[in-house]
Amino acid sequence: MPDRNQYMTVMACIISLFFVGICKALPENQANFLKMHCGRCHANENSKGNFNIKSLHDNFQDKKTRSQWLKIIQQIESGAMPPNSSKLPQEEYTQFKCWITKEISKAMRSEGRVTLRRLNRVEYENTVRDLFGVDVAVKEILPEDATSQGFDNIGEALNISPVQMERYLETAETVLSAATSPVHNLKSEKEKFDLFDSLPKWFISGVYKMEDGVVLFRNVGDSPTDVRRFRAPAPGKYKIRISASAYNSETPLPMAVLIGNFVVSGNKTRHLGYFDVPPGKPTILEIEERLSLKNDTVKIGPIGLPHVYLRQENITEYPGPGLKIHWVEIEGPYPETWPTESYKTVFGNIDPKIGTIADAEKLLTEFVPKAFRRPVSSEEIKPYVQFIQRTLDSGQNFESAMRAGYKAVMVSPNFLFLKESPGKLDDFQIASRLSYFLWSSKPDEELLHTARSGKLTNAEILHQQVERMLASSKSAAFTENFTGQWLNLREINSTTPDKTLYPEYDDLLKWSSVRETHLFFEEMLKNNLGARNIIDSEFAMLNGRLAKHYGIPEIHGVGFQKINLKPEYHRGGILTQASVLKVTANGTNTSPVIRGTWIQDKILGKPVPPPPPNVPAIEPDIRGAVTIREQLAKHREINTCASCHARIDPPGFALENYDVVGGWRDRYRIAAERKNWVNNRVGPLAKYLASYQYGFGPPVDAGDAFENGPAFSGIDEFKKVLLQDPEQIARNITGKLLAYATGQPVGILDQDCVNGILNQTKSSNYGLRSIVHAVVQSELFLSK
Amino acid sequence: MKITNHLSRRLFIRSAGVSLALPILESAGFGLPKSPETKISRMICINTSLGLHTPNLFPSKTGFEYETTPYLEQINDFRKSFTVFSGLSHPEVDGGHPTELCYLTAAPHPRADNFKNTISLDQFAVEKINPQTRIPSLVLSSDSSRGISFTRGGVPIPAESRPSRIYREMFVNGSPTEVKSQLQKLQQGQSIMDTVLEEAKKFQKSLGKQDQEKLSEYFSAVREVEIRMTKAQEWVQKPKPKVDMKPPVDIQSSLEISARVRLMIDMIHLALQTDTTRFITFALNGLNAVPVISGVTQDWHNLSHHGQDPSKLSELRIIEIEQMRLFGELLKKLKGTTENGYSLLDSTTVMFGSNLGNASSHDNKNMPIIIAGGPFKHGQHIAFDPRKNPPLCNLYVTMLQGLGVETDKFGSSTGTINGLELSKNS
Repeated sequence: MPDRNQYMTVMACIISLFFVGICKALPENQANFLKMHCGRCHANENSKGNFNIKSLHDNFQDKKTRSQWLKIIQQIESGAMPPNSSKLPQEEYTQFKCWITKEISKAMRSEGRVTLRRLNRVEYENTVRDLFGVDVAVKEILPEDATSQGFDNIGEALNISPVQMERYLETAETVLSAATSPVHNLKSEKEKFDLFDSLPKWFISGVYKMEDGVVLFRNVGDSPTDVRRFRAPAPGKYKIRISASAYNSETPLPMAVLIGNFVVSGNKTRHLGYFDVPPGKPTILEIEERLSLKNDTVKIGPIGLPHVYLRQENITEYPGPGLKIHWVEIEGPYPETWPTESYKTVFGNIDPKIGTIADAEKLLTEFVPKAFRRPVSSEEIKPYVQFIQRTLDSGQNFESAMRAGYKAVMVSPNFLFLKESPGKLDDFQIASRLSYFLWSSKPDEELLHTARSGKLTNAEILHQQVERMLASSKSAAFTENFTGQWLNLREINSTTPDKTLYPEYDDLLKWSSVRETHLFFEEMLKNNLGARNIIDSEFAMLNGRLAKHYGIPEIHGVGFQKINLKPEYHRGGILTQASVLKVTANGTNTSPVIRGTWIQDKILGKPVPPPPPNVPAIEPDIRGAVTIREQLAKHREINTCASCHARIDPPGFALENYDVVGGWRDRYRIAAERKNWVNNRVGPLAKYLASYQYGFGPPVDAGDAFENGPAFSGIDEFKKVLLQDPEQIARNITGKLLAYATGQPVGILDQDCVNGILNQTKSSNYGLRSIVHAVVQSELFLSK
Repeated sequence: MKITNHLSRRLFIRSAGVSLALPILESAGFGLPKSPETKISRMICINTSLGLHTPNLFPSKTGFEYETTPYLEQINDFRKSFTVFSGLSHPEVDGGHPTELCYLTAAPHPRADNFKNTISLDQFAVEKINPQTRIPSLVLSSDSSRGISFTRGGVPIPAESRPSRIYREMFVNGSPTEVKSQLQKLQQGQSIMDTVLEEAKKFQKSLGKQDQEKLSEYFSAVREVEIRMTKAQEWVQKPKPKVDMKPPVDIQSSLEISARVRLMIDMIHLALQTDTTRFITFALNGLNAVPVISGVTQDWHNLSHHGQDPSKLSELRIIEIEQMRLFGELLKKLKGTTENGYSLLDSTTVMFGSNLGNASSHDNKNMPIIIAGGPFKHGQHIAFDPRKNPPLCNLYVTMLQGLGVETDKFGSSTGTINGLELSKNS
């Protein structure tokens, strides 16, 4: 193309005239590249996008400079810049990019890619749990942690403010108090209760009192079905036995069990879980549990039963299901041994009444290496011993001084931060990284032992340790925290579905939906299933409540099973799980924009850039547009919006058949006049049932077309298109895992490492377990 | 205006047990000359994070003769005590919701990768004025710890959303033993801070530049906590003020937005009335859910993106009118409390506004801003060019000067605000 070259040469000359003296610190080729391709819009006072190439320099030690250069690459690679990007000569660009990445890597060698990070509050809570053997809700005391790219364990985002520091002191105090708290010396007692005797008067008109128990028909939520006749005489361990059966039901009914004080408002209650209660002979459920406060009791009730109106007069003839509680027996508090294990971690076998500074030193020598997660010299312990000595000198007793010493250790930067040195990590740094990756907690003794032996850098030993750690129950923290953030599952409570439109939504469904995603991820991890399963799978992990929600017959009970899916269920993969469908919707309606952005970012790894700064905001006017599709079509008519929304909206539309709680819909639910309400009052329960108060609106159209790609009619075809590129799905999950595992989002410089992992795991069809292993063995994971 | 030391004297009177009858401020002011100098400077800054639909707020006429609007009507009782501003914004603070971080700081481009925040207006004032109160400043929110105050280093100060906790800190006295142990704890805390500061210095040695920057947050937090503990030791020995209100029970559901805000307003009022603090920020965080307000059936965030849909606008209006009413309740409480012959509103500059000028399009220009109380001559609608907004920080400088801070610069200011003058008796 001679014309173009001529034009460029001329342009280059003209532009050069204005550029005398700029970019001179840069090598000539790079300076020319910038002038030629960016100079026209980005080289004067009013440079577009607030970016001026004159402000660039080659001091790569400066973080801001580095991010400016990276931004240039990002803009070019995403195709956003230059405006006519097809004209960019590839060879020149490759050289340009190569120079930038080389310079940045060189500069970062002395720093490492990961910013020093502190424990987040989840990690802190688990760490003190493992250190002292106490369960303290630290999360309630410490402020929320800031996130970066969706994760709350990223060093850069984790700040420390004075308030944070004060709370650390408060937390340490609370933890130490819990660890040293005295235990009761009561005698264990056993008593059997008839739940009916505990029910308040106003409530008993809705229950069926039978000779051998009481039948409950109202869901547990706001029912006063706690065993009020029982109040724990002291905190301690109790055995709770519940005899129950399903009434008027051929299938098992779920029973919820909670613990807490249900009279004092504001007190936290704890959900012990949901249990299946079959019909027929009473089933006895036995639970051993700690009641953590005096006067706590247990609450029992059904969940997922139809919402019905009952009166004492018609209760005997009501043909619907109910949960029959025959009796509740509570035994406890079990005798405790003193000193407790937790107490011993604090005071060992030293009597705090007569402890000396030598004892303090001994205790710290034991404790500090565990707290700092590495060997600690006596020199390092000295300041803490001296501090305890000073505290003793000021007139405080040993117990108080020792506790102060522990507090000092727990606010030390060595405890709060994961210190890593630039270059290759040492064995202990690897141990900590690994442990906070897979357990969200400190390394255990075996891992530290392996680190001490210097073998953790051995690939085979490292592999074995990963296997061991994944097999431990502590790895539930990995599933929960990783999926919780990768997929936004932690936001499951942030919106409440509109009760009028979604009367079927209840706590059991909410709990089950999150559990489904956790179990699905664990299934992939356990059986090394390929990344394609994220998009679509032939199985699902379901219980009765979810199966009902998904319209899948013949599955009962609250326990989860692996179910083979049929095409007509329109489920499989993560995209169509009720949990993610809920967190990508608000309580009333769904938006293809939110879901589309979510899919691009979370599943495809192609996050949509935020609207560029300084673009004048355009006021959307959706008056007259009735359906969401019409609204968005209007939106897409506006050029500035269209450039991104052509990418955002289609994947969002593909999920349009799923409502805000993840149910399948052919038509939208709408608030309607009484005469247009759907009729749910059918069947034998008709006259008892509360009416649904919504109607049906227009039919759903879930079709669209990929930007410059094929059209699809709905979710099934959409998934097929995505599955054509399993590598992209694997690339995305690898990036997310690397970010979570190292505490630093993956950038352009890290792509070689990501490609390496993909090459290694291709033969396993990008199996999840293989990817986790490859992440741990990667250069990025093993270096700062 | 000079900051006088009459407060410590007042507190001496109180702690000596002389006349503890309510209203405390009246009694504490006993015997002091009623000169303007005794007027204390206070400030409350409120941000409602999902914006206000400004066509319902901004009058079309400017000056003192402006016509009232659906939103201003809710606080019309105080017409002479507030000024409504249109046409203000923070230059280069763009990108929709994240700008709530910059509401009081004006730091540019909160969405940028390398965004670093700066000190917020309230903390700046606290730093300059250094008020001798039990609590230097209160950082509050309607839910979560997401607030609008930032330290000098730009680190967010976590907000408190539980009234019960604020109440306990301000008004619940410990037993003599508790006070003693509290004092001991503070002294101990100080020596802990000393110890870990030395530790941090050693820790710092092998760190790269980037990590040192991170650790500097730790250093300044430790130093700040030390200072706070020194002050707290004095305070812990003084009895806390007595108030009539019983300890509040926190409202668990975040959907009960009115009840939550109302309870927080009680706390704000009590905090100022007892002079426990003089600087308060309150993040009235919007919800991605349906708030419990009669007539509202749709998700609040969703309503804010109304796209001119009349049914959405009408529900949004209900929510926003509710907020204006709550703001009015706060003004009423402040106006109804007197101190040295002045109302609390006279001594408190109250800002109510939003980081979003147009929530529907995520626009950050033309922010809704109302200033009430304080030393200013109110009663106007002061309008600026909607296409060429002067910096909101010009107003912040005027507010700071009104508080008695000697400064002519804050954030992106280019001067002071035109049109807002000090009232004669200030």
